[in-house]
Amino acid sequence: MNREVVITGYGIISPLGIGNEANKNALLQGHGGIKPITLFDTDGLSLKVGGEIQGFSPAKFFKNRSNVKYTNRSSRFVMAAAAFAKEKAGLTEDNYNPENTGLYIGSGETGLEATDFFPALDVSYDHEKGEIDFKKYGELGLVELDPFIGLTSLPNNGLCFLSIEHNIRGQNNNYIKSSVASGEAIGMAYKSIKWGYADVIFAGGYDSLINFFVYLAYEKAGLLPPKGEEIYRVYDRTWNGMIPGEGAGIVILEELAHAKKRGVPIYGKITGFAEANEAYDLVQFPPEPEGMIYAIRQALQEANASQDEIDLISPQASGLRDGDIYEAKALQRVFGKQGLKIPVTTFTPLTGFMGAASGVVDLIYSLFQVEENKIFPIPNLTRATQREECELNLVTQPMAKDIKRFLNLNYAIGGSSTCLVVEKYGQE
Amino acid sequence: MRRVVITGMDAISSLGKDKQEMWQRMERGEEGVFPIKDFDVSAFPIKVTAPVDYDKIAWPADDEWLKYMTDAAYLYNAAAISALQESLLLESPIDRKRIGIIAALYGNKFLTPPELERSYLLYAKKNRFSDILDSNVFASSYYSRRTLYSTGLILAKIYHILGPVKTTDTACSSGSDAVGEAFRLIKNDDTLDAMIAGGTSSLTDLIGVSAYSLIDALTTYEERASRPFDKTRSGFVIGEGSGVVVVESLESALKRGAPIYAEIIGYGSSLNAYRVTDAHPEGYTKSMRGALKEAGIDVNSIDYISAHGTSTPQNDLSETTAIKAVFGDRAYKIPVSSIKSMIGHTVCASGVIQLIATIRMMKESVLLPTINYREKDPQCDLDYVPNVKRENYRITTALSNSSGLGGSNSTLIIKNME
Repeated sequence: MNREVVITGYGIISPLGIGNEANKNALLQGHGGIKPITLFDTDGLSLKVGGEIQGFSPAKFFKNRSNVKYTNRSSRFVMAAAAFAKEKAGLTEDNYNPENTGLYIGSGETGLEATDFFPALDVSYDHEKGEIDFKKYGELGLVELDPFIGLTSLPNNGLCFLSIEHNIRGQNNNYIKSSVASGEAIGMAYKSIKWGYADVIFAGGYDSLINFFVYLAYEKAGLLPPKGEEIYRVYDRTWNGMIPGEGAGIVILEELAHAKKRGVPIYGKITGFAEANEAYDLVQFPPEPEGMIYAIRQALQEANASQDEIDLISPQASGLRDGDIYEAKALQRVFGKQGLKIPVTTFTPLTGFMGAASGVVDLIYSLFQVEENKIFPIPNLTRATQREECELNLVTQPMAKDIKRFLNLNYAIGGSSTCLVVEKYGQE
Repeated sequence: MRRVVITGMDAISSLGKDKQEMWQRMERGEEGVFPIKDFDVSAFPIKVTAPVDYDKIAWPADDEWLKYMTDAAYLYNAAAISALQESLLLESPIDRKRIGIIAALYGNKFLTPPELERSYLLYAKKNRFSDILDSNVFASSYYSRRTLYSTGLILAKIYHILGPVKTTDTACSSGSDAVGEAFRLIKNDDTLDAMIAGGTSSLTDLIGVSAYSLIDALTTYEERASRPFDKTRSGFVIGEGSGVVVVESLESALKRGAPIYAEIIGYGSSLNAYRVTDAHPEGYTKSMRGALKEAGIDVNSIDYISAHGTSTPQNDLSETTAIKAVFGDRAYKIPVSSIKSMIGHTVCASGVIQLIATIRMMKESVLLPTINYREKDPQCDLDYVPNVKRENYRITTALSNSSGLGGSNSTLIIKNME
């Protein structure tokens, strides 16, 4: 029972703007979202900027506003993205069956942070004895903690509130996998509909890397750019590092007949998905991208698409030197010399590194370009400084193009890759 | 469509370092719930947990990995390595790209209590977050510890497994969802032959206890604290542990002559769309019906139900109500028991540990009990196998329930292949 899976809606919130229109306009105009951090004190950190979303108020995305306090910064973003996607898809309470509607979400590394417990230690630490006074911790400390911390730190926090907000009751899962999380969520949602486990799925992801501890962890792992470098570049030999960002995206996947019955516009069709890993190292990239190559080839095979039928590649483009080389090498090996002609574009330099939201945000940006019959250029990249090892058709000028089929490629540090093949609907 | 079986498994819990020890102690109806000893809890609302004894676990791989793992990642990998070794999967010439990994994780504490204390002291000097930066608490391995998906990557690296490495979390139902997703992928997709699937949780230290003691789902009892379905039940006990199974296509298992524990025949998952902390009978009803539908069987085929049975007033009633709604009169004829009475609530591991316990029951024709059961709740009136094991009970097909904080529910159905 292999059913066809189409995209009937999408919604996005990113450092470029809140909502689909704001994001599309920012891309058309090349407006970036990387600015000095306002959310936390960057004192002592080497990087002081990030793709921080500003001016967002979550309340209107919750029917029950008292639920806002049970959510966290990043899951509030996905509430907005889902509301935009649902509206775009024309879904209303009476045209989808909650029981056959699923939810597949990729989320970031939320959890219990050291600082969450400092308020309890502030009132219970015995500095003379140099130890925690547990009597005081129990009596005075526990009540100082955020009572909802166990809920707000849940990686499936967004999954829960999306379900409540949109009455989604069917198949579901939540993936935590750094920057491939939302690519994987969309891929698994596609399979779930294809195999008949759901008719409609809200799929995508959210993340916020605008967090003191993320900056700290990235700095310790050597993932941030050199001090003072604040114009995010990718595939550029003068650059090595990532500038964190935040945001969310949701796409509405629907079984083709279900979408036709609703008579709504179809923005794309998913025809292939595959994933693999390198089993190489937790942080380092392998010399040969065998896993990523396997993922791309499997996805192309499932989509029954030959390499000259790909009109656009949307890569992860993290800006890490080794990552950029790794990804370019995989594309070079899969597509050979001919493949070098396929346009490659990314907007990471505008949004910042979007973590778990990467795949879905990239997918929506590709859909904008399909709609505009135009490929938007990679920001902040010039031919003069393009990294030699990254010899690809990197788009540096706007380019008219009828995009019939594109690849959405993601990798995470640690060596996992996902690849989606998406087609313009109604061309075969 | 391919048939899917379990060819290896192991569990770590408060009742032992491995599944053998856990089974033996569960058969005796032992209680693995203990007073918290790591710190003085006289002023804490909760007094007991069900922690793992780390001293008894022998880490089966290179010590170099230890610094990259949180406690939860450690428990997952220790059980996964044991399950893999038992399955002999990697002794066969199977293509490593056709093997995947799913680790269900939750309770992600990025720090241990001593590290928390050290980072606090740096901060407390001037109440400045940036002073933590100089701490060697946050070594380069900190990135890997807070990257949850490195749990499965470590296993992939140790054994050179090249297929998908997934980390999932739907809170307390994640373990069942991990096994369910592995089942569906192998059943429907011809790109994978086997998946190592499991869950892990570690919340019994100061950090976990602090974060969850304010949620009133925990019991404040000090004795017989976890008493699922009993009228006096008052909440769950935080457990710690991991459970991992090797899920494989029947074809692959037969080809390499692997030992087969059981066949997975159905999986259902649902969302309550209700409230974040509350279970709801309809969620259970839907996940159980979904699993029965996929298995292509009716309620008369089910011989045993491994209950989520957390010991919260609300869950146990919701689950009982749902079992009655789905099974009708047959609900009263099927034994339903909760091993959480013995090992507490192991959150992401719980569904997988239930599965591992259920397979033992199938193999040995014995029912593991719900201990600490004394007072009958008129609303919870099923056969909960109270207090002592029941022997000579043959199970052909069993159903296992999970339900999570956040409103996710999952049901798995397994079948004895003997």
